[in-house]
Amino acid sequence: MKLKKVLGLALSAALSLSLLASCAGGSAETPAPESTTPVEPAPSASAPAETGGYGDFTSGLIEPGQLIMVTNASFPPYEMTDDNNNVIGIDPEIAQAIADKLGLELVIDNIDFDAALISVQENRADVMLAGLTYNADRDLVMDFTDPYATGVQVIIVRGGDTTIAGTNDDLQLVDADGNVLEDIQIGVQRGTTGEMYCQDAHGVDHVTSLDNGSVAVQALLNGQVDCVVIDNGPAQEYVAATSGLEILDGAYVVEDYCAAVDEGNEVLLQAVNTALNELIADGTVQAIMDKYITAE
Amino acid sequence: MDLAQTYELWRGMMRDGVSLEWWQTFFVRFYQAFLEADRWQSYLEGVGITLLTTAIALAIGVALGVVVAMLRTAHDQQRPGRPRNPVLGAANALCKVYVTVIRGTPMMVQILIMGLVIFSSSRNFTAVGALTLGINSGAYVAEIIRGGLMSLDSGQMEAGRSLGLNYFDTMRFIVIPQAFKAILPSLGNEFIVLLKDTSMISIIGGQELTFFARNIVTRTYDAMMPLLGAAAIYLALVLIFTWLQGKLERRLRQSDRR
Amino acid sequence: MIDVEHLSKSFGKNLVLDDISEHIQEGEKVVIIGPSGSGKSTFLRCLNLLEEPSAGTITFDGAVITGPKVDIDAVRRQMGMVFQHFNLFPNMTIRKNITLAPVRTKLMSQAEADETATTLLRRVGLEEKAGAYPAQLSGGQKQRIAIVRALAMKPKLMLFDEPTSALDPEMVGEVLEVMKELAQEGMTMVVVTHEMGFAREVGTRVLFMDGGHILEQNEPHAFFAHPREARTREFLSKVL
Repeated sequence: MKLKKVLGLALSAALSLSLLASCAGGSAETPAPESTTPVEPAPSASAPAETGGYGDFTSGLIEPGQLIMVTNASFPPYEMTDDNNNVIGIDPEIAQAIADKLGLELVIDNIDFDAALISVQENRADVMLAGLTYNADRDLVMDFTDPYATGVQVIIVRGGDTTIAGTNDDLQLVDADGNVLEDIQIGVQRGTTGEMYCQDAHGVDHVTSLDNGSVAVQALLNGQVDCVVIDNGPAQEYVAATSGLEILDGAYVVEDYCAAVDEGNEVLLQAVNTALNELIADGTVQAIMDKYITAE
Repeated sequence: MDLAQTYELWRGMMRDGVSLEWWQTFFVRFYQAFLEADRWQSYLEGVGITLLTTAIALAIGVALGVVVAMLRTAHDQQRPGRPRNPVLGAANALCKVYVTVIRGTPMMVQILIMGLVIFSSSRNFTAVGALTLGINSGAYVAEIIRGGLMSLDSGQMEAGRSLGLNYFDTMRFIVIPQAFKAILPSLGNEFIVLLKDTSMISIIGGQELTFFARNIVTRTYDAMMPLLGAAAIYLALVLIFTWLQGKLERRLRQSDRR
Repeated sequence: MIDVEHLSKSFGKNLVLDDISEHIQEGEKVVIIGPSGSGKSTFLRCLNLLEEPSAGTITFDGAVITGPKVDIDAVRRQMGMVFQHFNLFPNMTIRKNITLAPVRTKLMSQAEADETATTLLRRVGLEEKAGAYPAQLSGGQKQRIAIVRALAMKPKLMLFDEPTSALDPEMVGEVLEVMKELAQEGMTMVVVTHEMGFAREVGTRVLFMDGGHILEQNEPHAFFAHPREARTREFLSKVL
């Protein structure tokens, strides 16, 4: 066993060294134009001159004068793309407001979620906003800001004879007579906390991870899964667009979203956090939320 | 101080923002990705499913490939001048459509269609994924085998037939064993592609090595360690199979020694 | 034994055999000579239907074998064929090369076939090669094995398609020797060859083919001493 560990360590070390080398090379370049959406600073935003209140954060930036935000724009309404492939949503607008406060130009990279994590950790992006939630494990590789939004995950089911009874750790599938059916299959969107919680509660065999929300909903319509645990925002859209689906009352889980910077980037964390808290305090964040999430 | 205690200590220091040596950070991240909460077991489970999926897909692929290649070769090798067999003609047309469609569409699209449209009532996503990979592989294996059969000197078939052996005996004892030896490198290559392509079934909920690795990414937000770990495991598997293939090739070459 | 009636064969628009009729008696040793492209190999390959005739009929032992319902495999079991390039099966030992067909066609049990193989190999002096693979043999040895392989099926007729053309000169003799012995035992043989000495010595009849026709034929001594056709004289003057 010991030998195995040493061997695995050596192998991983060799691979990670080669990857680190390539990352180091890549981080010196400016972001490729096709994956980047430069956003014009909004002229109406609050005065950008006062960088003093945020400390000297320039050493925490990759490119002077730029705040490079990385995200995975497949999580509406927090981040998504419009018809012209511009990244829009709550997170980009909050990032824009933060950049304005810090007197920086906002640059957005839209890439795969796992790649976005690496991008921040390997200094190719300054900050990641992608509906991130905090936990102790994750704190090792990234530093998280204070929460700025509350994410709610709900359960979508097919309307009809079969329903889901119980919630969270005790999801059960029951027929019209209230008999519990064995072998529930829960559909989740891969990479979400919902996936993690469902796996912990029901075991990996009872959870089917689909690549994105629409595939998960298709599997639900096909009857391949019995319910889908998914963020409330997209859930509302899917249910509105598809007949025969409904959202169960109550939340599956409620948690806070944070922004994150590379582990140890204290100066930038400090600046972003301060700006974020100001935006929360003056109602800007709430205004952005209200713009995208209409009251039900 | 054992590994777990070291991990807890350094992990606490990392979280508190104490700057550690790079190898200490590496150790903590490595421990978190592979050893904490016995996570190595889930990689192991993933390897098992990856291998099983590959084996099932390979069996389906080779079976399909042999049938398609035999049908198409039999059709192409019909004696000129005699009326053509209409059943063979229909089978050949069907095989051609199969090979064209499979080779002309991306694997990822095939997996999505098979998982969500064709087998829309199946809950066993891993099995559907294995089936899709097998059907996909069959088209490539068929072309590899057909190439091997066509490349063999026609004198071998003639010699077999002139001895009074029928078409299928000649194929079975003379043509196929020789063709197999010739195509083994290509088949090995296809097998390696198949092994790595199993990672794609995770898009329809198949649970194999990549799935379990990404599961750990979700938990830790540290993508590098689990992905590197998975890559190292794939590489090790491929190296093992390349070695085995080399052994098999050397054994088959015994009739070449002079 | 074989009756060929109005046999024609064309590959696409290329007419290779043009209305050939010929009769071969049991026990005859017919030697076919002619320039390359004359159709002699195609004629031989039509006899066991490795080439499908475009027109005409072939009758073997009183049965028409060019018809649609003929069991071609059963016909071929009675006609041995030896190829220019030997066509031994490289993936099998010599013994397996010889015994595969008799066993698979249920002509013999494996034990009987092994015994036949041993006897035949001893006859051609290659008994110790039974366990070897074809790649380990010389060209002359391979062709002797190929003859033995055909003989193991106990054929009534042997077809030879330029059996010595791919051999180094010093190996031609050992193959011709085996063929001579076979002729002396009374085997019916049809041989396409460039070996005029063999034609003269072993043949009972020589056919000269050119342009898809049998231009001339005769008993060997008369054929070589007094060729009638100008084309034949021209050909012989080049090869003799």
